[in-house]
Amino acid sequence: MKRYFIFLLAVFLGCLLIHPPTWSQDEEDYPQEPIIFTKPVKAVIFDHKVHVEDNGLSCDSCHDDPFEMEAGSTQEKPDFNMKALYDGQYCGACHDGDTAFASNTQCARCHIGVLGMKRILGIKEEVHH
Amino acid sequence: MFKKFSQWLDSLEDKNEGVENLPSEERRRFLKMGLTITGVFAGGTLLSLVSKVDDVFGSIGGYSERYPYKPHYAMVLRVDRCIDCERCMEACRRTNHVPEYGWRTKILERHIPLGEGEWYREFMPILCNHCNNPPCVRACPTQATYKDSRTGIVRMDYRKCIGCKTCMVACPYDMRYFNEEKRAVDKCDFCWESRLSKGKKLTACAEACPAGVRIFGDLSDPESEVFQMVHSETRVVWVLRPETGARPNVFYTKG
Amino acid sequence: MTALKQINPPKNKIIALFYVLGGGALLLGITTGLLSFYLGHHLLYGVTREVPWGLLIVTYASFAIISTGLCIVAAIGHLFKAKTLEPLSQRALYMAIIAILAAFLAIGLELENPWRMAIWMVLSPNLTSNIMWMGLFYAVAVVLMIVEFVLGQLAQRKAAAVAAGLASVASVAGLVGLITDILANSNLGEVFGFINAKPYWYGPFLSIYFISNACLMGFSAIVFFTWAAYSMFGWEMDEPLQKALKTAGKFIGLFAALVLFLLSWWIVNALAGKVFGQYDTAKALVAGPYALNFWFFEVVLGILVPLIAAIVYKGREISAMAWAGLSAMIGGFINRYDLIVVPQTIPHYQQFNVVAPAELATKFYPYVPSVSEFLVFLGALGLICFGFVAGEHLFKGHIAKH
Ligand code: HEC
Ligand code: HEC
Ligand code: HEC
Repeated sequence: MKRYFIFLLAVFLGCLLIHPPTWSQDEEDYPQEPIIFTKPVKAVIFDHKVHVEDNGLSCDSCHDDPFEMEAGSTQEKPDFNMKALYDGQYCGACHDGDTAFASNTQCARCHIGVLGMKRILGIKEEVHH
Repeated sequence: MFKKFSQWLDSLEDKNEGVENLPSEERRRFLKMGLTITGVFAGGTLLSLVSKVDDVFGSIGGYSERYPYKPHYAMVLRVDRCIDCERCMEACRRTNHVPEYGWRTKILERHIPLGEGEWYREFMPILCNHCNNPPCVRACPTQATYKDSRTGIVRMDYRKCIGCKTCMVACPYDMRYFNEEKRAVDKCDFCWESRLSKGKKLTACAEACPAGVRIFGDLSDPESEVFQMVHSETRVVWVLRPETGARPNVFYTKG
Repeated sequence: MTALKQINPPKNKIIALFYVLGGGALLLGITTGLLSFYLGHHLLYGVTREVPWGLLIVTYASFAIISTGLCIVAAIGHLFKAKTLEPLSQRALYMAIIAILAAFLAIGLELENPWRMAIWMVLSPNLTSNIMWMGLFYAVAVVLMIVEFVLGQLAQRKAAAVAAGLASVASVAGLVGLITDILANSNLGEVFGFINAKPYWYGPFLSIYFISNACLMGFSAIVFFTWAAYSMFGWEMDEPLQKALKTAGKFIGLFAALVLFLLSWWIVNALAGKVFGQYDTAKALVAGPYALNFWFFEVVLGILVPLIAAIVYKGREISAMAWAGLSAMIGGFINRYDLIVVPQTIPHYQQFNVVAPAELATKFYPYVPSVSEFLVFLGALGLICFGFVAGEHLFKGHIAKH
């Protein structure tokens, strides 16, 4: 029985070596490009790198609640606005002044605006004469 | 005799007094409040605090007589709340039929340094400052641009514009452009033609702002929000490029 | 004075060239300018919202300054009876008229609605506007100069008794003309000097600078044009004219020194003071994108060449001083260009760490004259060339015979 167990463990570890566990697969799979919300207002930046790598947040602190793993899905929700954030929903779950800077401060840190969005998307501003 | 002359010179200045001279008495009062005078506050010069308001607009007791216009339109911009959604710019364009190639208001993105390689972002809306001492109005050869004697709004009489563009050069804020369709220089008029003259209370940009950045109102009315913000004891209020002596009616603040 | 003595055959080819190229450029310039009204200035001209004053305002200011200088030269001889310079007066007056007309041509084609000017400068003038006063004074000055010139011409064709009367009316017109012209020029200086938005301009200095430059330009232009006329048409310079030109040559040196003095302190002051706008402009000039303009054109061609020529030749070598005068005019033109354009290229919000939008966040606002602007400039220059040779033909070397 004990031998069996060791064998199974060896197989399991072997599997692990060949197939890394799903959580570490996810870790590498998070979107590298920042996600930009454009509704209701242009434009808010969310960068996985900052949250996952620099601040060590795990996927399940956000997925699938409050955010689905689908860019653009959250901004379709009618209550995705500042009031919800102030009430501790969405980004406000952490951006409450405890876990991370509060949602009613440093507006221009999340809000990169139309100018920031154009810069990230590489849209050339037209210069008129 | 010189006193008379000096009074006469003062009387020429029916509008604001300078923002550049902060008398030492005020300075002390200011310091007592636990605030420091930096001279430069985020790119503009420090202006407000209630004591300073006396200096700028005449004594608190006498301000209503001293305000040159009734209503005295002004705007206070809470810069740190601006998120550059540009709804104000869109609303302005729609409301005032501003062509593609021009603008009456704009948002600037600033990266304000915090130290080595560090900075924070701030969006700064800009629009015509409707100066009390407007350099454009002084320069215009035909009075095509003028200070409305009732509201203090710097307006255009398009048919008089000869297109010399001196006003465009004279404006310290880059607030004027040549409108080909009107064959005249065009600029922000606090939506006088499109809205205020038709009984609306707010400019299009102030109405469109979802973040409460643009506070518009009558500076000569003590009940108004603009009055209370500009005259607040604790709020720091500043104007852009005060060294030009233009004495703007667009104020900047935080919070 | 007697009629001109022909000592060489006239260089007809060069004269023809002046007529053809000058006249051609004039027609082309006017056509381009009119086309720009039709199509819209924004399509054909390189000026922008941020840099609204470009090559054509520079052309206007340059030629207006030359005109004022020539008017001063003419007045010294005519009105103040400085006998030495008297032989230069008639041509100086004529060229002053031509130069101001060329300036008007440039600004007329640059203004978006010049026709409104005629109405509204009269019906609703703004008494605090330098543009208004400048326009008014130059308009009056040109009329008075023309009156003076025409009366002077008539006086030459009339009997002595009538001639004396006409001449005295002409001098009154001349004196009032001179005063209005100087007022116009100083208002031109203050068009810039009054603009607090551009600290490089702001202050009373610009009107002093402009009038000093006008003197340099006036003497440079008269030496150059007189010499050019005599060598092109093959006339002999008589003794008094040579003396006049040599004296004028010395004045070129004197005023080049004055302008050097003024420009040096202007730049040093702006560099040392580090005032926003002043410092940036001065730096762009001495060690920035406009350094070639500044050092080669403004300083070397505009000031040092005429100054050194005047010292080396003591003003006596007329042909050398004529070339030095041309050099001063070219350098002077570039000086006007830099003076007017560069302060406008300093961004309004430069102190605010602006990163976007791109057009307001640049280090310098761009301005490059467009082809159309250049053609209109050539048109104004063409008017001067054409007017110059035509004047020599029509008024036979501008010889007065009193
Ligand atoms: C701090 C919260 C947060 C964390 C932690 C987080 N995400 Fe996300 N994720 C989001 C948000 C917000 C979106 C965008 C949802 C939307 O647009 O509606 C998103 C979207 C996604 C998407 C969809 C992207 C697309 O282009 O459709 C994927 C995939 C994803 N996340 C993977 C991960 C993985 C893997 C991890 C863990 C390594 C992770 N996320 C951690 C907040 C987070
Ligand atoms: C699970 C917690 C959590 C959630 C949910 C969350 N954040 Fe964050 N966020 C953080 C933490 C922690 C930091 C870093 C701490 C700090 O700077 O205060 C951070 C930092 C940031 C930053 C600063 C990045 C930088 O480069 O300075 C931005 C912008 C930001 N978040 C946007 C968002 C947005 C937009 C959302 C909602 C879509 C969101 N965050 C949701 C935890 C969260
Ligand atoms: C933690 C990030 C974050 C911060 C900080 C933040 N916002 Fe937002 N904001 C969002 C998100 C996410 C949305 C919804 C997505 C969108 O509109 O693009 C939003 C939407 C908005 C909207 C439109 C919806 C509404 O509520 O009307 C406004 C206005 C707004 N924010 C203003 C502000 C202001 C003002 C501040 C500063 C006081 C601020 N925001 C700070 C993330 C943030």
